[in-house]
This record gives sequence, structure tokens and C-alpha cells, in this order.
Amino acid sequence: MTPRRLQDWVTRQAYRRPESLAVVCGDTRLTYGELDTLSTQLARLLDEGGCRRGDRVALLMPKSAMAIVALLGIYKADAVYVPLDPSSPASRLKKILESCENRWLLAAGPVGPLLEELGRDEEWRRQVRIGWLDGPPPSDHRFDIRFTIGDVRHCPAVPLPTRNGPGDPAHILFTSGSTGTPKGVVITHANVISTVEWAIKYFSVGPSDRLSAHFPLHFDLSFFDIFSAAAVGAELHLVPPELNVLPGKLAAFIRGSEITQWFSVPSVLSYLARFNAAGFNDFPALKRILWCGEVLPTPSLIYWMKRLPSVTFTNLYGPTETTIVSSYYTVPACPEDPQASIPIGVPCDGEELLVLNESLAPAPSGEIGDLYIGGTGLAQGYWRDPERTAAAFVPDPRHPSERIYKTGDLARVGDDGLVYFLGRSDSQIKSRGYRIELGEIEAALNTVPGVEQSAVVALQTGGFEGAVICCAYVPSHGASLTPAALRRELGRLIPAYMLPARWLVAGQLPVNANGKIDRRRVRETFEEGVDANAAQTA
Amino acid sequence: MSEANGLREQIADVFLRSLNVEVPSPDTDLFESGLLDSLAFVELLLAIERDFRVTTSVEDLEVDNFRSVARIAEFVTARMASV
Repeated sequence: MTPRRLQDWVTRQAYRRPESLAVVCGDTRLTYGELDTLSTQLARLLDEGGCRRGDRVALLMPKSAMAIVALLGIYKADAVYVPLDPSSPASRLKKILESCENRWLLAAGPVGPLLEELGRDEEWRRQVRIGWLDGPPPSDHRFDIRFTIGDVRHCPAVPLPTRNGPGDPAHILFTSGSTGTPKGVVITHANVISTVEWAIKYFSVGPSDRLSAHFPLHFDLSFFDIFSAAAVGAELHLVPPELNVLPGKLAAFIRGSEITQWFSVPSVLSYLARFNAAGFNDFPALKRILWCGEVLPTPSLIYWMKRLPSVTFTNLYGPTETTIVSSYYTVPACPEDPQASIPIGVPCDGEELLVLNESLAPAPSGEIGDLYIGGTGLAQGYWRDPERTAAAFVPDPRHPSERIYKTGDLARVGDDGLVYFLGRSDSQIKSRGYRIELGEIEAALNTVPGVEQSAVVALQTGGFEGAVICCAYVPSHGASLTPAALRRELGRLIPAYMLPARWLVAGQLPVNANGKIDRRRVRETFEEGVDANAAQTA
Repeated sequence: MSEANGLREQIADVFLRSLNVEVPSPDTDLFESGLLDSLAFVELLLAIERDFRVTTSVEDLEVDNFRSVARIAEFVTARMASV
């Protein structure tokens, strides 16, 4: 039966199988009964503290069992969940917090320095109420710490009367914005429920499954794992982020936790393949490998399909604006040609993929067009940004009362009826699964003193990391600004995954006939540099 | 002692030259501070293998071996001694 709200799935499992394991994170294990009780207690404390329906509650803590409790507690308080990336610099988090007018923050773990930096804004510090969910709270008494985890555990576990329904916002997810300000995508309970219902049916997910939770919580793909598990009463195994750099340990985790469904960005799979971390028929419990977020290089797919012949491999596709995933393609057999392109496939139930030309008519089969998505996954739009919402969520030419979302991706429909992804029509890139607007990096660079001019371009490497971000810049007259110093300054403004990996200090940047920076020539300069390096090491 | 410091400096130099990363101190936690992620990590391994003529294998890849410049220096010393 379709639930009305996401948290209803957990409550249902707590009734059916209260003793079953729900969340595993290191040594911490929570049953469905505990997950439901703790989140009910948290919701009560939020309510008693004045949190009202529709209020935005930010989460600033490492991925943990308590973070899952927090997100459910926020839903149960009829509030809107806003997950923040704890590895993001304070200046960027501040933009998000200001835009959401958050009066509540649930926090835990080593986020003290971030809070301290945010708290320099006295007005914000006075307004924000903090629930501290793990470990000792900050000793700075100027913060309004309303409750700690001890208070949660002592609160009566009596459910609040909730008024939210399927069409109410569940969360706001912030993605990179080309002008330098992150964009918030407003997702409803019904958006997520529809995608998850497709997933558990298509993949036959059941209570004996053990699902990986590899994505950071500020990624929309994290909801796929959390609620696929909750919908059927399966176990959710949170993957510790520090395993990401340790291929041997990550493989041991998949083996030891007896993961049955692995879902990650392609770069993780390619990274494991590069270190040859899997043996033949390794991971005997594993049934499915899914990936999403960017293109999985075919050589990496071939590696995995040869290593794990009894596992099924599914490519998922979909932007945050249309909720988690919109299309899928299960690879029928190991490709022979390492150059073969893997399609993004066909739409999930309730979704529609449209490849349209400039006049919004369907592009003929085989021809390149803009990819639009319609259906049940469509977000409400961008948070308090009607202009950007209207530009991206356009009227459906066939039924003008309905909307379709312009993904910015280029695609074609093959003779096989499958949709193939062909790249971007703008300067958004994917790097290790992160969606990055190069414009956001340039906007940050423009605020660093000592930078006269800069250009940020991406190189496709064909390696596990996807696109490599490169920055060419001209220091201001008389200024000496090394790449290392500029990288440090930039690190205060944008998250580490957006920081350029390659740098070039130039006397001037190439311009085109219109007098604008010629990014194509900047990219060529970096490409030549890469070739030179390759020649050196060969 | 000075030899250890010299190696630490060389490793800090690898961070600066190969990754354009300034490491504040030999004891800075590279993972917690976000200075080292999977992309930078691979480049670091390649640079260490090249500059110090040591080889690393999947079994060596323990978080604690790479947590700080000081720990990397200890790891490289141990690998160099075992060759």
C-alpha cells in the first residue's frame, strides 16, 4: 500500500518487525522499533521547541545512524529536511542557511569549527536553535542548544498529530548554481515515494536484502537506499566515507557486511577496478550493482561483469530536479567492445523521457536533441526562485497545463528505442558523481584578491574520476599568487570536490573574436600539458 | 631526527608540487581536513612511488598510514627499509 509520507514506511516496519535490524553504521545498530521510537521522540522535542509545519530544519553532521533518526524526526514534525555537507566551507553553508531561513539546526560530530565560523554572525547565532544529537555539544554558551541526545531518549515516544500529505515538501536539496549561489530543489514526499515504489518492484527488494548506503546525505541518491530499505524492512548499511580512498577496505566492507545491493557513483567502481580489489566471484551475497550520477566507463563495466558473472548490472539516470532516478538500463550481457556506449535506457514507472529539438518537437530517431523529463518525479521547483524555476520547468507542448523539466543533457533515441546520453549543452560537469557548475567556481575565483582574470574548464580524462577541473588565471599586476595559495583561498569559498586539480599561471588568457575568454583554447592548453606529462612518464 | 624532518619536508613538497596543496603541519589530519580525497590520493600514491622509488599495494592502503604527512613519512621509511 502506498504510504502518504516517507516516515510512514518506517512506522509500518516498526509495527510489523520491531526487532529487525534497520540501520547499521560501524558498531551502531538500530532496529526498526528503535528507529521509529527515537524519531518520534525527536519530533516531539522539535515541536515543543517551537518548530512548526513547513519550517526548514538543517542537518549538519556526519553520515550516521543518528542522522537517519534526524531526517525521520524532521518529517514527523511536519518540517522540511535540509541536509548540509559538513565538508563544505562555512561561507557556502551560510548562503544555504540564509536562503532557507533555518531557525533549527540538528548537529553532531566534528562540526564545532564550522559552527564557530557561522556563529560569528551574531544575528544568526541568536536566531538558530540547535539540537545536538551525538557526543559532547560545543562549550560555547552563546549558542542556543535546546536539547541533546539524552533529552531525546527521555522524551515520551508519543506520536505527534501530523498534517503533511503526499504533496507537501519533504526536503530541499542544494546543488551547484552557475552564478555562485547554490540552488535549492524542493522535493515532495510523493516524488520520492513514486521512485522508491518503482525501485523495490523492479529490483524485487525484500526484507532479507542488505542495501549499501554509500552516498553522502546531501545527495538525492541517498534517499533511494534509505527508503528502499524502509519500504520493505531491509537492512541499510552505511558505508563509512573514509573507506572511499581504501579499495581493499571497501571491498572487505562489501564482503563482510554481506551487501546484496551495491549502489554508488561510477568513480567508486572504477577506483576499485583500478586497484583490482575484487576477486573472481567475490562478494557471494551480492545480487545487484547499480550506478548513477555519471557515465560508467565501459572498460570498468567489463571488469566488473567478468569478475562477478552472477551479479546484475543496472545503469540509473536522473537529475535531482526529477527525483533520484528517472530511467534505467540493465546490461544484458558483458559488452565485448570497450568503446561501446551504455544507454541510459527507458523511463521508470510514471516517468517520461523526451528528446526534443529546438522547437520542442520530438527529434527523429538517431538524432541529437535536448533531453526533457516529465512525470511523477518532477520537483516543485527551485526554492524561492520563480525565475529559474520557470526557465527549467517549462510547459509540456502537448499538454500546456503540465510541466516538463529541461535537463540540460543532450541525448538521442537509438534504433533500439533506448535513450543514449551524449553530454551537456552547458558548462555543468560531473566529477566523481558531484554535479558542479564551472560558473560557481569562476564566481568564487572572482572574489579572491590578487586574481585579475580566470577561466575554469573541465578535461575528460577517461579515468575513474570523470572530468578533471582545470583553472588558468592571471595574477593582478604586482601580486604574487601561487596555485597553492589560490587553492587555499578558494577552499574557504567552495567545497573541496569543486577545487581545480590542475593549475596554470598565465600572463594573459586567450580571447576570441568577441573579446571573451576563449575557453576552448584554454582547454587545449591543458590537454597539451596532459600529453606532455604522459610523454614524460612513458 | 633531522633525517625524519627532511623526509617530512620532501613529502610536504610532493603535496605542493603534485597536488598544489599546502599542508599546514606534519600532523594535520589529511582526511578530516578534506585535503586528501580519492582523486588526490591516487595522484599522491603515484608521486610517492615515483619520487621515493617504493611500491605500494592494496594491503598497504590503511587510513592510518596516510592520515598525516608525519605518518606518510613513517610509511615511506618502512617501505624503503624493506626493499
